[in-house]
Amino acid sequence: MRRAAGLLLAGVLAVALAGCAPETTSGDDVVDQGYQSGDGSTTTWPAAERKGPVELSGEDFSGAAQDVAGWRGDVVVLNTWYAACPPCRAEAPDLVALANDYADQGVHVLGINGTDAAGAAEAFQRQFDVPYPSIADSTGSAIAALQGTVPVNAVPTTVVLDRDGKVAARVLGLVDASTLRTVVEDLLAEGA
Amino acid sequence: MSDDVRDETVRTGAPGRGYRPEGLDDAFSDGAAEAADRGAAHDAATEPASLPTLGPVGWLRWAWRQLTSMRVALLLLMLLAVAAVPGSVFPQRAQDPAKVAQYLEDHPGVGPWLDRVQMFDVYASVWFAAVYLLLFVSLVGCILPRSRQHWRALRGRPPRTPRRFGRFPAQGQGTSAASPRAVVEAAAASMRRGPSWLPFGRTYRVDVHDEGGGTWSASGERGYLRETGNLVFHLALVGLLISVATGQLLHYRGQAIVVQGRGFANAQVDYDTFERGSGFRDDTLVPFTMTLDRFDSRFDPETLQARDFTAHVTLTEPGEQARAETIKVNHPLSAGGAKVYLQGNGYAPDLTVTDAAGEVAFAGPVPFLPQDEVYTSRGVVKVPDVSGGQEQIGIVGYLLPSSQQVGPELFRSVAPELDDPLLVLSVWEGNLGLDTGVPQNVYQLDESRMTQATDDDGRPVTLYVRPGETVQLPDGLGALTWQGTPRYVALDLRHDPALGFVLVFALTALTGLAASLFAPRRRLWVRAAPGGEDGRTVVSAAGLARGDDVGLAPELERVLRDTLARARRGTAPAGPDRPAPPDRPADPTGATASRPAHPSTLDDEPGEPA
Repeated sequence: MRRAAGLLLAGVLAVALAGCAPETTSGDDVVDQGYQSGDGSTTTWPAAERKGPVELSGEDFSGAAQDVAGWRGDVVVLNTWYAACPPCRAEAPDLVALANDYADQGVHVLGINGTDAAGAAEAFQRQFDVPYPSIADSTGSAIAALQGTVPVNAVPTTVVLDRDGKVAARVLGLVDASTLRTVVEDLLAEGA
Repeated sequence: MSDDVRDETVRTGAPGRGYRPEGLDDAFSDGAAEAADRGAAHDAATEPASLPTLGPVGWLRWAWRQLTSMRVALLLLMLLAVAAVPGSVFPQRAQDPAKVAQYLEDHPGVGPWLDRVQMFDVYASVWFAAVYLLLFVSLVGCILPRSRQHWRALRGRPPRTPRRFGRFPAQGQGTSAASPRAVVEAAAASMRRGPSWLPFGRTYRVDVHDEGGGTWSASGERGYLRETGNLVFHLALVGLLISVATGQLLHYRGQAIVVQGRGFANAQVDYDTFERGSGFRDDTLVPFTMTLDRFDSRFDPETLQARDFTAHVTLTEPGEQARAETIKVNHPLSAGGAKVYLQGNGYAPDLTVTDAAGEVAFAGPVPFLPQDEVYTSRGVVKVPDVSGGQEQIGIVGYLLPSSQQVGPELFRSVAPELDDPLLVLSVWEGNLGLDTGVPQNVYQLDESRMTQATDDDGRPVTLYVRPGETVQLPDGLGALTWQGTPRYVALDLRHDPALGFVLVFALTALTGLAASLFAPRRRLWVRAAPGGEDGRTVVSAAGLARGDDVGLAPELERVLRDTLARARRGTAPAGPDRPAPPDRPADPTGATASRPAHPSTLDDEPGEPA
């Protein structure tokens, strides 16, 4: 009896404990939304604790080669997105404005799109007048390169690299325009 | 409490229950407990007025005894089973959050109350956890003292030979020409050896006693493995629980869809769904990439059952060369500490949508989800980025891999293979609802701000598209081209570092269970006394087993026969030994057998000369 009891207990406990895992998605999520959303949480690292430098390169949707390593000495904003992702669309105007406003201060913005084919991605770029390139990450290697340095947990994820190419900040989910600008300006000030 | 004790007294005092073979004051007879009860009953009888009082420590001790008792453990187990029932009655968040939301909507009265008592998260609820944690404590609280006890028993000696063998379930008698001491030593050797076919299983731990007056006896005990197995089983269960819990803490699991020719990176961003234990750290996710090169499927042409699915992938682990791998349904791929299972597959028609201005507004493969065994698949194309202020376009519909017309404007799929594929689509225009930033289901069109395109008669327009064709969208919205039909696979990635431990503990538990079930626990005694006829030695033997043991009598017989044979070989041949059948005692002065223990095969056969 006790043996049977024990076996049953193990089974039940396995089920029970399986239920203990916390929800990792944010509260607005819907069933089958098909992507991992973030809660907009921002993490910044002080200069001494930054990881990197990030090695990231690939071809953009127009076929031109893009390499983050060529932008050492400048602040770089990386952004994962795809065309049909609601928060990506919501934050796109802010990113575009940021890219335009800080272009003369050497800030580079680089998108990473592992979901869309060129047609959909270029339509998005046309729609939002996106001035910056995006890597066509059809194999996932750009995401993998980024994941090797900083966990990329959601679409969109925005990662800000300092002038040494190290990860200074990460925003999971819809980015707040003023927060991002503050981060970028702090980093610009660091190198000056 | 005193009532209980009196009840106990009546029962212990009842005739036929008080008897207990001598020298057996241990687990075999529960004699100690009875003796204690008798003492307690005596006290209660003489001092009926003073009820014992329990201090706080006493109550704690009492509570602990209750918790670790078998009865409460069974009760908790029942409770656990009952507590799991709501989990199958109400929809659970962990399995189907949509159903929970639906339930809350349908039952505005009781829904929130049920939610408050965690009826939608039964297996993660406080009360469910309370039951299984108590059960866990009960299990541990029971096993540890028992292990300690068994550890002492393991190093103990067999019990002394009882004075009389009369009431034992298995008995045997015989005579031998050898001296009592020689007979007993032969018995000891016989018990120690065991049968040759099982090198370790049947040896007894044996003590030889000189009982004085020329009488010698040997007592042997075996079957320590039984309790060991029992304890190993329970300890392994505890280990199993801890491993499962650890695995839950450190695991991650995610699903991703990968279209042929495209890749997937092991980062949370690339998963469609992802869940992890609270102890799993994001930065330990190994960033391998995997590209789907080709997907093969085979179906039975008659039954349309799937015969074989093979995904040919290129796997690139960090710092390593890319290598070709295959994933089959029951052959997952190991990558970066995770197992990659092939969970599903389907077709992802490669579509291009141009808008009214002729600009490409959308292009790329769109995974259509199979709805039945002939891969009638449903899909949604969202075209948000139309140029020139045009309304956004949404296209929903079905892919029929092997289409067959069954009526006017009525098609169905007859096979899962791409034989004569057809897309049947309806078109919507308006606001897709993507620009507000609110998440939505990628496989559903939010039609609340859209209108369906209709023809001049007001009937909804249905588009029929075949591969390579370009069709004009209604209302001059643009055009749609079907470029090709790549396959896609749905992958399930799981990482659970404790799985190895789970396996080891599960196997250990099984082994322990087998040992505790099949290792017989037996005690045998052999006594040899002088004073038989012709100066022969009178040999008597008895056996006792825990529980019902059909093997006890044959075992006793084997030992007795072997003992006599050994004793005979050890002495000069003085005449045939006469092992006597146990139901006809050879020694009339010895204890009479109260019941025949086994059909006798020990007969008055002539012994062979040594």
